[in-house]
Amino acid sequence: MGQSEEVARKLLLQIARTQERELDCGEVFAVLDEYTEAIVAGRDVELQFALVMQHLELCPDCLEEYEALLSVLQTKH
Amino acid sequence: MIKWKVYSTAEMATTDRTNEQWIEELSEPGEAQEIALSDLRAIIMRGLPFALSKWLKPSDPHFESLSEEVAQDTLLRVLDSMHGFEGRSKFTTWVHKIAVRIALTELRRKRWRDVSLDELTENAPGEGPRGILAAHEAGPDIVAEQSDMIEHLQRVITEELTDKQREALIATRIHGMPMEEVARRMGTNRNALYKLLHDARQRMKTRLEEEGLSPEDVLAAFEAG
Repeated sequence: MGQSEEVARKLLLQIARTQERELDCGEVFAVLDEYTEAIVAGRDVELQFALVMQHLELCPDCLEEYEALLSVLQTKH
Repeated sequence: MIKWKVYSTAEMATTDRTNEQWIEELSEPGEAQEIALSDLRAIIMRGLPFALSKWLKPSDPHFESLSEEVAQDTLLRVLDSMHGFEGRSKFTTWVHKIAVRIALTELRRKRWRDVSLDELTENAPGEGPRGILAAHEAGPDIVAEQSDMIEHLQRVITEELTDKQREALIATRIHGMPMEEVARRMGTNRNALYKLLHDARQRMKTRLEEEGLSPEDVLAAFEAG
């Protein structure tokens, strides 16, 4: 795939995932600790954190922060 | 009555504080606070190599000074906003979260320091001012449906979005510029930028749906490629 197809494809994926109500980065950051702990503990997050997960699919920066926090919590040190 | 908790080194190593203990010991200046801050600093420092593993290794010459700076700023932020800690996670998790945000913000700032918004959103020679998609190369095997779809999507972008939205889209989606970096250059903040992009996505989605095209339908044209 050339660049323009790839850009278009990614953009369309984002458009497809777009919802009327989305959390902004601040709202996600506020519960990121709670969410990440739930993931590490293996708890079901679909119900309580659906909007958080949706935001993480659409926001690479928040996703990166989540993954970094996850790395910290998953490592016993 | 002031309650002092003095731990021996051995006890400190094995005793985890409860959230309440952290809050209590950090609240008042004094010896207990100093010990708690010192312990918290060590906890932050132990977590940073894992948090930053995709950015730089502990052996990197910049790692140590960055860690020190991040730990210091994190402790200050913690003391400042402790009253807002709601106890829905472990206190140390909450602290790690703050450290991660501070560290990544700094790393992103450094990486993008010399990049201006103009150079990212400037037109490629020979391209129209709004050619987000057209500015890139089509692949050699591009089929008619994909080519049509790209043109269509480009038209939607040109007709439905504001100049600011196009600028934000190019910077974040095409060039991968971090949200805070883009926001600062646009004179706004991360949350407002997110809302701007959300609105842009909604406009594109609505327009496509008005034309009888669900994003999934459109995506199907690209899956085959």
